[in-house]
Amino acid sequence: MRGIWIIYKKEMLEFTRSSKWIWLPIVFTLIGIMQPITSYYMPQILDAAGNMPEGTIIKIPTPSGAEVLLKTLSQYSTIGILLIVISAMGSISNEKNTGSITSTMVRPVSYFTFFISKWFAQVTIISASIGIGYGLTWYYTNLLFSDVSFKNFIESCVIYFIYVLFIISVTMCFGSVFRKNGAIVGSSFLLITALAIVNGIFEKQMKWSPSNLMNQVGSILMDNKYLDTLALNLTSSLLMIFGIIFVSIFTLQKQEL
Amino acid sequence: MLKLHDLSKVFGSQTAVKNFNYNINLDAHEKSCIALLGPNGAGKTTTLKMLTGLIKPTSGTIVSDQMNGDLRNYIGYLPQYPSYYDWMSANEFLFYVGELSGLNKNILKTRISEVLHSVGLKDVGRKRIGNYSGGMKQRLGIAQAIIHKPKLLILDEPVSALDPIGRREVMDLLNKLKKETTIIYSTHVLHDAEEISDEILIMNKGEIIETGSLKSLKLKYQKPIIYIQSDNKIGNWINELSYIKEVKRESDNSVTITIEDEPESRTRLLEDLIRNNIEISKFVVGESTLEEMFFKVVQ
Amino acid sequence: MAIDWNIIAPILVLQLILVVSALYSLFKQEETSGPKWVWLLIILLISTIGPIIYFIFGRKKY
Repeated sequence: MRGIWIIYKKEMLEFTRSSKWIWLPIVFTLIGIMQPITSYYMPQILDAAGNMPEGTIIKIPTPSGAEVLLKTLSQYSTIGILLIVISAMGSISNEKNTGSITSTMVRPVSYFTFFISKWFAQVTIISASIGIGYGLTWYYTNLLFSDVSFKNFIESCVIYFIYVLFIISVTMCFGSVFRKNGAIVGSSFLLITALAIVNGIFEKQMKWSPSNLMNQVGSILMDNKYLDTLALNLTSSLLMIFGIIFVSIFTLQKQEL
Repeated sequence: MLKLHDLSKVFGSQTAVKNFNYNINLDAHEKSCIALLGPNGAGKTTTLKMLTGLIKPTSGTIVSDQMNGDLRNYIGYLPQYPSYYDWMSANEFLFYVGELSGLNKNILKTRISEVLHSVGLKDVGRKRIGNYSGGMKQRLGIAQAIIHKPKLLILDEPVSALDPIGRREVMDLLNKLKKETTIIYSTHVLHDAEEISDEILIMNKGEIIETGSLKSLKLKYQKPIIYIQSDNKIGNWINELSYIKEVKRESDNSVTITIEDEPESRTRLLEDLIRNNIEISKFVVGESTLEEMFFKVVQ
Repeated sequence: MAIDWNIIAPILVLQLILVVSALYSLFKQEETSGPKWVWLLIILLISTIGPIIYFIFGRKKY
């Protein structure tokens, strides 16, 4: 336990030194709050874009707060996934590439401790960034559009968080397998988007998939209720996350330094 | 005592180390400084890494009566290509590894300044490691290896990447450290092994080929060698002589021979040469050295 | 409908922080991957994404 805390603290210091604590929250916030703000000013934006014949009446239905929030989350699951993958890609591989991993592993530290502390560190900074961004988006949405209840906001946030855990775990798993960051980003992004696409086509068969959590989030925001497969969805997602973490630690252990 | 029993390591189809048997003395009053000497690819790094626990032996055991639990608590290790976090200061890095080794904060603070002082980095402890020179990084590497007062200090090629000044600094440091702890270090340069070690372990192709104290090895390989050149052909009869250990034929009429280290062998050789009508034009008496033996191994 | 600066201001402030911290890091950097002036242009001219790309790919060490 002590080892986990020590490595975790080191990771946090690195995030601070590398300005990650500045740019990651800001990016997620910008991506998030752009959504309600551009939706709100859409008529003016179109107007300013010009090229409309005199007297054209621009009529865009005002979206509901829930729709705006959902759009932000769907941004989070495209550009957001890329950012998460980029944030987590080097966590393991950089240490293997430079060899700095040995200075930790010659101490009485297990691979479990090494991996899990880095995993927690990534989870901390990424979920904090998304939390801040999504929170501010919620605030703006309520300010400019119809209210979304605090309960729905929190619940959608928590379920999206499970999906984020899955993305972080997948990326760090590829980070344990590969050395090149390109390979890590490529395979992680490919796997996660492929899963989401398959999920879109075979919705019935994919109720267990972590990518289906996005449908749960949509349902809670729009219809104020969960899909009836929530329990299955959450359990299988969490089990997959545990499985991926286990595989990562096992792979790390098998590679000799 | 740290007993390495029949260690071997196989990578795929390649055997990096085999039949490695050796005992390292860790007793406080019998500290030793062991040099692991061998050409590149002899299996030195693999052996040291097995000692640190970074890689697992394919077979064989490492046991100790003085170390319980995780051996890594008692071992300090400097890798061949050390790499530390560039964004950390030396103070921060030593604090990090010290904490991982289980030292508590207060002890660690005094220990860090002690260690930085002894490796000569006291004034730059707050500087980022990324701005350190190669020699400074190597000294920081030694600092992190001794921070937890290990019983055994393992150094992989500690001086080979350094310039003469850096090499001198590290050598002096090791000379100081060997009074405090048992050291095992690898090198491919005999001179580096001779300079500070009490014991030499020569490896080649994954196996130990010679061990012993520096003194005993020097004595063992200090054999009189004689170079003879003659105007006529030296026949093969010379190979049959009983007091001769080795004959190396340079040409038809010149040989280098190693003889038994007894005063009368030289006289007997001269007598035999005359009896065989050899017209000696050169008779040079010299001594073989450990260096020559090592050189032979390397080739 | 006039533009309410109270709504827009936070975006501008965040973008400013991003640019300033990227510039600060760039000037402190001894060595970047690729020439410094290119990074300077990227940070200044491509809003939001420029500084991010710099933070991810621009630095050799921090």
